[in-house]
Amino acid sequence: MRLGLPTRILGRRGLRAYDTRRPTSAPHLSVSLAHLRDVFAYLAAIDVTFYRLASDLAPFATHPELPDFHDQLDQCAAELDSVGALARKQGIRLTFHAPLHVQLGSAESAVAQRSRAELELLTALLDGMGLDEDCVIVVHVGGMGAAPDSAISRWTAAFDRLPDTVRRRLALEHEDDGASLGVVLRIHAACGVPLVFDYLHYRLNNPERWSLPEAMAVALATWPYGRTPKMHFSSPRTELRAVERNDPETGRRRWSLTAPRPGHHADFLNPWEFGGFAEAAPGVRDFDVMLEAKASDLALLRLRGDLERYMPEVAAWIPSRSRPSEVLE
Amino acid sequence: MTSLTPALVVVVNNQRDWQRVCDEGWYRIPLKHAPYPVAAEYLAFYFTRRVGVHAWQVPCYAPVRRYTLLQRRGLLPDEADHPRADDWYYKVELGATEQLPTPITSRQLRRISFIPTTLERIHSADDVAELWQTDEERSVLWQHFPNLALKTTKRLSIEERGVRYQPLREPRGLHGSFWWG
Repeated sequence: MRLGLPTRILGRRGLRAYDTRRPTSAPHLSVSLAHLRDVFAYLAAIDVTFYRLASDLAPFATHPELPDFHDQLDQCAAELDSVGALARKQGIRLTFHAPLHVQLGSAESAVAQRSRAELELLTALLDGMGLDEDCVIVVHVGGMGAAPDSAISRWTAAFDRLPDTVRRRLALEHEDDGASLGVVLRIHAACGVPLVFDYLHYRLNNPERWSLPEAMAVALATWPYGRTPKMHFSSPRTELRAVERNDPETGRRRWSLTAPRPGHHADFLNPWEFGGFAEAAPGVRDFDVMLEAKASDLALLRLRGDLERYMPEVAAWIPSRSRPSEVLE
Repeated sequence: MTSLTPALVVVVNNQRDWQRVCDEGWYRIPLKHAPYPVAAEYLAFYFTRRVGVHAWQVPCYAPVRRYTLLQRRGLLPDEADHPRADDWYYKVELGATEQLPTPITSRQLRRISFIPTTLERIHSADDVAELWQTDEERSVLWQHFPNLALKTTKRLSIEERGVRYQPLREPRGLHGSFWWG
């Protein structure tokens, strides 16, 4: 079981996940890839081999109104190949999470077309890096609305129309408010797309009333043998959060504190909750876990340290060449 | 942290390299000896005595446009017989250079090749020694991250389901004390 971290790096100052500049500053995939090399060096230092790439790696590359950005992949073929070789050398599993506007099941054709273009771009990036089929693009159903059966039909039809190269990269995640695990299982039955189990979404949206071991077993069984399943884990936020809103009295923006909504990710991870999740896995096959905590790499390092201290039997399942959790002690 | 703009100070130790920056808009970094982190949104230039002007100073910087990986023979075709012709380099393509209002001087005349830093620090530094970053912010972040929310509550009200609650006047020496309702 590899633990992964999503995109941003907090533990090493100066590291960016991609070129974040605005269009006027001409951000470029080649700069993102240089950032990525730096991130890989950091991942090696903290002994992490599972990482979620920024979906904006090629900035504005599918933006319909910015055609100057559309040929970045062609310009960076050699750099993509080189970064992919580095990832393979370090044994890093790289994945994408498609942006929220990617909704294959949307009833709006413009949204569905843009979704397809975005998925083709992400696929081309992974293919350009020469990465294997464990390097997936996670998507949601989206566009469920009041007619889930229609959304499911649209999603499976759109999936079938995708190029084979894209279909082989996709993995479908159930949602905290919308498509439950039962719904995405119907989609899997129709088209074979593997399912990403998300612990927090399962807690929030489980109309099937499946137990945790049942739900995890169902998701794991959707992955063909030879491929490593992927799961998401996060703890729910329980602390106050600061939000900026328009003040109805003054019309000015102001910050205030509010209680967290269900589904908000916590900064860090509850080790005992993670232990329960890991122990509920059927144990018949290995899987990787993407940790969706706001403190990203800091949360991963803290969790590893907590597991070593409080749940060594779970920590033993996580491959580690060193004890990098000590870095932060 | 995210508001800081990554920049890289690079050494210019001959006229020819500087001409390439000015006339052709690129600078080269050997992959084998690249600094960490190498990616930046700006390159700033530290001149040695051999450039002729601004010796031991950082007088200007330029925005980064692209990073391209090339072998030396492709980067410098006139030197195809060079012993390191097969080595890989980053060709960093640049926009127009911008002069700093006051060049940053190295009072200790230290020998440097690269300094990963930030554009903000370039604009505020008086001496090249101030461009080096320490890891202090990481340890500060680590120590305080769990408490950041509470530490920011001093000037904020609390809202829950549309009802706004006012923070209790903060007792001296305490942080994050509130009453609800």
